[in-house]
Amino acid sequence: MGRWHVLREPTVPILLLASVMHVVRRNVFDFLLFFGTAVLIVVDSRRITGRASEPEVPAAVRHRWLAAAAVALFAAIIALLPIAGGMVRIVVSACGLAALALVLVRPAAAPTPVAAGDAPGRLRGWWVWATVGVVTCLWELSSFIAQQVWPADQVNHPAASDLIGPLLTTWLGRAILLLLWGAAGYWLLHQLVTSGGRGAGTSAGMSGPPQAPPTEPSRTDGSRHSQPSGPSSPRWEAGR
Amino acid sequence: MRTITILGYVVCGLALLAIELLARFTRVPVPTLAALFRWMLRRRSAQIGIIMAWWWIGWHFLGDGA
Repeated sequence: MGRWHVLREPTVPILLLASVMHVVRRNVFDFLLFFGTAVLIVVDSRRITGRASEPEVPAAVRHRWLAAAAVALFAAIIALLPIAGGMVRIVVSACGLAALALVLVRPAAAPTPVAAGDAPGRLRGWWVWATVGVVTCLWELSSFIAQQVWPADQVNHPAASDLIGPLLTTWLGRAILLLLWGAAGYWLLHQLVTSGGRGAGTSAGMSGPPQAPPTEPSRTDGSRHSQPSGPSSPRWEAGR
Repeated sequence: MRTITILGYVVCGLALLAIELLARFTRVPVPTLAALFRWMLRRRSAQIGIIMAWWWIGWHFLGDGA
């Protein structure tokens, strides 16, 4: 399997499945985006430039209140613009391209047990989130299928977008969505930048190879999974 | 029927909220959403996929008009 390990990871199959759905939706842009991302991941996996170096944390990441204020200001200003307008499209596109560039320019780590698909640890209880997530997606899918089968009865089978869309006709609705979207994007990039992209899950309550428990609890996110753990901890799950 | 459909979304949303609360305030062995994402973000493929999914949500609702 070697350098095609990425195909054994869940991301590419999920993206390809979503691509099929966008074909059914007859949405060319979304299909190209999801399929293109799957191709990009495969191509990127062939690019091995060595282990990721220790990250340099930008000032904007270290000053969280400054970042929070910037996201709030961003949301308040962009919410003034009409949805699907040229300016909004430019801003959203710029945010996406910048985030993607930040991920891609980071050095791709040399094959590790994780990169090779042999996850060194598992997160206890991850399947609970996955189950509810899949059920939510299936509910959305059932609404979509019902819309196709009974096109005259679409109002009775709204997709999530149909319910959220009307909320975005007001400034407040757009501001809240932009705030959530911007905060989520900041958090994701913060995780990537501060983790070096190679050990983001080490404090996430994983099981796996024993590591020395930290002397001080890391409570960066308030998660109970940030507490010290080790082979003697009840949170520590043995192997696979 | 519309009410049932909307109720389904509400139930799913409440279930996700309940999981987060369970993770934060009980000893049930369930990770928080933040811990789950940090775990997923270990893989470079997931980093790219999740960033693109995040961007698509913004585009879908704001750039595309959903």
